[in-house]
Amino acid sequence: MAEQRVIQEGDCVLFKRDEHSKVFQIFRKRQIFFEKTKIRGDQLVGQAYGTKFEVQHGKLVAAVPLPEKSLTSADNTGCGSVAGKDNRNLVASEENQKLSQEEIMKMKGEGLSGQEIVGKLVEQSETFKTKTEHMVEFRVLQPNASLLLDVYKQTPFKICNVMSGATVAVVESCQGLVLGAVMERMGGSGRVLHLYPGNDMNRHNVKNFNFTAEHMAVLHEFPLNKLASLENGTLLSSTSTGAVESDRGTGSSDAVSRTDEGNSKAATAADSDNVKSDEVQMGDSPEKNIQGDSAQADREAKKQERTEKLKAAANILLEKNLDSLLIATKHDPVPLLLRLLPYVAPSRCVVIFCQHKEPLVECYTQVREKGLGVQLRLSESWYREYQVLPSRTHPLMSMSGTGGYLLSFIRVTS
Amino acid sequence: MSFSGSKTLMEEGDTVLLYLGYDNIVQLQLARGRVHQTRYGAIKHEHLIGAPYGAKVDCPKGWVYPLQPTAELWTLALPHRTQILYTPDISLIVLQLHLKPGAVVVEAGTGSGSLSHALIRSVMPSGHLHTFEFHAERCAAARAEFEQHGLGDYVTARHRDVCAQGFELEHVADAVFLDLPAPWECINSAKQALRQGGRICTFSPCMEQVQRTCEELCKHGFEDLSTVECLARNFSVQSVRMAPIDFGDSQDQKGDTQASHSSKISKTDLPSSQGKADESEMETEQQDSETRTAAENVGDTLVRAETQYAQPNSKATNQSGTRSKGAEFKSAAPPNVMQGHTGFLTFASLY
Repeated sequence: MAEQRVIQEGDCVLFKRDEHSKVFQIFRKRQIFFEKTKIRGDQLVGQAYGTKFEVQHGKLVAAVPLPEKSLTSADNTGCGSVAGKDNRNLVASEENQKLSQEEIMKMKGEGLSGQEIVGKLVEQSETFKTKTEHMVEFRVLQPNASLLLDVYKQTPFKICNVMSGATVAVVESCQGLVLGAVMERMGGSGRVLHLYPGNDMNRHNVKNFNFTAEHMAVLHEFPLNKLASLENGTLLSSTSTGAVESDRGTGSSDAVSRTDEGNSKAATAADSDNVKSDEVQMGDSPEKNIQGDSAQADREAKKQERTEKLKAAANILLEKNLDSLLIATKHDPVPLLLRLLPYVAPSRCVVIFCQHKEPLVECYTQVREKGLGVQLRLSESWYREYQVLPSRTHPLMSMSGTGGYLLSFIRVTS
Repeated sequence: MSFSGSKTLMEEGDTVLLYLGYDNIVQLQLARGRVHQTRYGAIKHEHLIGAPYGAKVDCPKGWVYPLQPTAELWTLALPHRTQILYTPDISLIVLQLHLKPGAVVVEAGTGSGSLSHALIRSVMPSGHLHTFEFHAERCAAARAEFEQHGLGDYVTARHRDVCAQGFELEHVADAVFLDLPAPWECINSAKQALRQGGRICTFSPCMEQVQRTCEELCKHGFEDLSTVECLARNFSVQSVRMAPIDFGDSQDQKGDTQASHSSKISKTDLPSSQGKADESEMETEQQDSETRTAAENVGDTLVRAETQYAQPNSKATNQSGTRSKGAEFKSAAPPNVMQGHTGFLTFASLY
């Protein structure tokens, strides 16, 4: 899989600098800001993933790797950097800065740019050099589930028997992160059914995985507010009206979804990304409307296509043969579980993630009492990271308090 | 063929896992004419062939559930030839090695094949696992198991001491996993096996091993080192009743309290009728007896449980208001004793 890939226009690229990482979609004509650094898109297109860059005078330069390294640095991630000297000689004093206020104002008067002045300040500062190595240096990476989890600072979650070729149903409120992780494991074979609540199909994280069309083809979606009409048979008999109603939901394009952002407390990074993609879509749409008559026909065709997609998704449910059901949502998991469990095949697994233990206790009790599943396990993951340095090895000073709770079991029938 | 894809009915030759109780799962190969003895009585294989996976099978003294194996269940049922890795560590390894279908992954040593099954599942059908084991018999046993499970095409099991002889793989692997007594001796050949952008993971129980491994990883230009520990706390779900204390208040209230003094934990309101041999595992007995008596009680408990959920407030207010009968609640309690350590996982990237 790891054939040397280069960054293409429109790719989502993960920027990583020490512990900080963020995903940006790259366009030639767009600038991005990462860790206070301005980077032009056209400097990145065509570069290989995995490259480490330095910013020198506003230009990107591929960093030269250090030949010999040893385990001496202060942080446990970057080996062999000059950083990591201790700060016993650091004294707060005005003497440290050799440039006076007047001299700085004079430079300003001489028309030196802000950056040049800062450069001079650094040059004249005795403490700056003794502090830490300071160079804007970052690496560009191809996003994947693990790295994206890093972005959101989440602890790992278990993926239950998701394998290539399987049929997996996902209900989630993680803006597509769980969905993307599942699709990554499918590798373009099998089916992923995204069950989403009514109009709220927020899954913009899926685009961050840079899935190919082939990989995207495994993804189907079904709005849960149509489950009742599916169950009583009215949905498939009146498919045309069904499709019109579902416009808002399934109408959003696959990778970039327009959603009610107010509904979900997304991380700020996630939100701003979403806004950006909205702008792109709006920019596109007026052109489409100009085309008039053909647009009308287009709409008809699209409507037809949506109806077909909804039917396909409905049929996956009607098979009642799901290989896995994954629930990770802000909604009450108990009714979700009880309603969806009949669609899971016997001997297949169900995993529910919840930030709170109580709803999972209720799920546990219900499944137990009704004899719906075995090997019920309610667990919490405990995750601790270490600093490993010669004679200075210890757990990090802060750790994740909880990774949330997981309930997993195997569905059985009597 | 039951590991490599999902199926509905059991066939002759399938590896089937019999669920006897919580964390109590045994494996069997279906063959006509054979009989399997469980604590609930004998099960004829013929009885199972053609029957659906996941449906209850009656035995003379109880019942069992035949399940189709998954990597997670196999970890609980497999014959131990060595210490094995369990699901929490395995999930983290698969995630952090960035595995997906198509990836090529190297593992040393094979051990009992617990992790191997999860690795194969993650990379199949287009990827491959190269697994190495320095113990000849273990290697042969693992190879036979992979074949039996229909995974032979996705894995190559070799007998070799990789610390001494290396992997003999040149820049083909997306990920390398090392579970060896001295993983630092193997970093050089791991680097050789990895492609640019590849990931490495080592598992070591002791910090001294981690220390040496990290030094070696840095020397060889690995970056983004991270050493972590991951454990799962399993909760046991119980109905708990805590009796109130008697303050000598007025007569009629006292009458209420006397009906029940001692605080007791009833494992989900059902009598644990079947004495089980599994002593320490609280969960085992609980789960067993309950699954077995659940059917009779369905109507009753179901109604109660549902109303409870529908009006969560009514009951709670009631309880906190008078509380004359003590507190009664469902609790998810962590175990008194749990696994405190498995090993440290060290991850790094080679750019």
